[in-house]
Amino acid sequence: MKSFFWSLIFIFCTWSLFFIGKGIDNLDIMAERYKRALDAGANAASGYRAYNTGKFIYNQGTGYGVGTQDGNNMPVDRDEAVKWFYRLFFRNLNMNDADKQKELKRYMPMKAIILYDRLMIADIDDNWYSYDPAGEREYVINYGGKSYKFTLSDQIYDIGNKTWIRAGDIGLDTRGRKALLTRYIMGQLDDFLNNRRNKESCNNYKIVFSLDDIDEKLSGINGINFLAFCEGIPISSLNPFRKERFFAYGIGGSEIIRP
Amino acid sequence: MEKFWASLLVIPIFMWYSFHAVLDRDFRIRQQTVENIVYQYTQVAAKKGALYSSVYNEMADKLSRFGVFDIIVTAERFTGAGDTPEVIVGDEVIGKDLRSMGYDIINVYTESRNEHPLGRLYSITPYGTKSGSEADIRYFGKASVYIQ
Repeated sequence: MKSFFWSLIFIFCTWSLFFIGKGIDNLDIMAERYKRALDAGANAASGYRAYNTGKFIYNQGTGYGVGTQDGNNMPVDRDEAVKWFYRLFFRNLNMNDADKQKELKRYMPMKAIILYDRLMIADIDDNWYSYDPAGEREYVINYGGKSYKFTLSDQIYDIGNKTWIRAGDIGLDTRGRKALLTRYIMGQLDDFLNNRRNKESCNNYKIVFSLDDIDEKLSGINGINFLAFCEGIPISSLNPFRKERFFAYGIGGSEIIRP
Repeated sequence: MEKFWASLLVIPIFMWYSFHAVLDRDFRIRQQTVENIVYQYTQVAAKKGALYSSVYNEMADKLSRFGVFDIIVTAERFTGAGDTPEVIVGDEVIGKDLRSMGYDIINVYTESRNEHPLGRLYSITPYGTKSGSEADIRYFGKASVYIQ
């Protein structure tokens, strides 16, 4: 009787372990699938055909502000970018059904465009105005007790004196300027992400850009980028003892390059 | 005698779990490899703006290590403001200069013709009887990349 009892215990334990691990088994496959889909989507959002035409740039205007900063600006049709992102993202996941797409969109809390002199972030509903009522926010950063509007280049706008100056004029070298701006953008993205709606996972995320890479090109944010973050549809663990759900989250991004 | 009945209870279940662990791991590793191959070659095609026959054959050759696959290749072109693209399939895609033809997306979908034994394992209980669940588990890969 004793052997029989122990065999039942053994079956119960292995059965429990088997199901507890089941959800986690699928996590790595889904995470990789999301990552590929995010990369393909971001690549489409940043490269869709309209950017390659002079007509698009002409119709969008040359940029913001006055002075040499115009030359570095890049107009982006944000709604079109998001549309292209979704096209590729869902195709990669082989998700053609509109209801399923809608369900997954609930777990895509952030689509962001890092522009030359401002940041745009869209929420779950692809609404750009929940981040800022203006639909975008300039890189206004305090440095040395004064407020400046920063850009992705070394040109910065002195708000007090209403003039465009170089970062070197206020004692910031390239590395320092890039670190300052990258930290600001990371903070904005993190704040938006961690104060999102539909926070089912209760997870907080921290987006990190390298600041000290050997390759200067890989340090900090160097250009205009499209970014998307996806938590993914929750995967149940099948744990009979505790209701657990896992999120195969991922982030994808691509630089928008002027033709 | 009691030990015999106990072992008769435990051994089949232990064997079933062991088989499951091995087959599940085998499936996941191969499935990821298949997906990676498809994505990698679709990316190459998108970057080149064309899916050359040599690239297609190389992809098919790599996939053939995992069995016999059906490969479906399509390209899509969005015209105007509509969301319905023009689609070309198979030979109309392979070897054609998709970029200059104005195509936006290249899609590659592949699916194994053979079922993975993991599906068979799900359909039987550790004691060999039908479990009632039917699982058609096979390798597949899907990739869509924007043609720049």
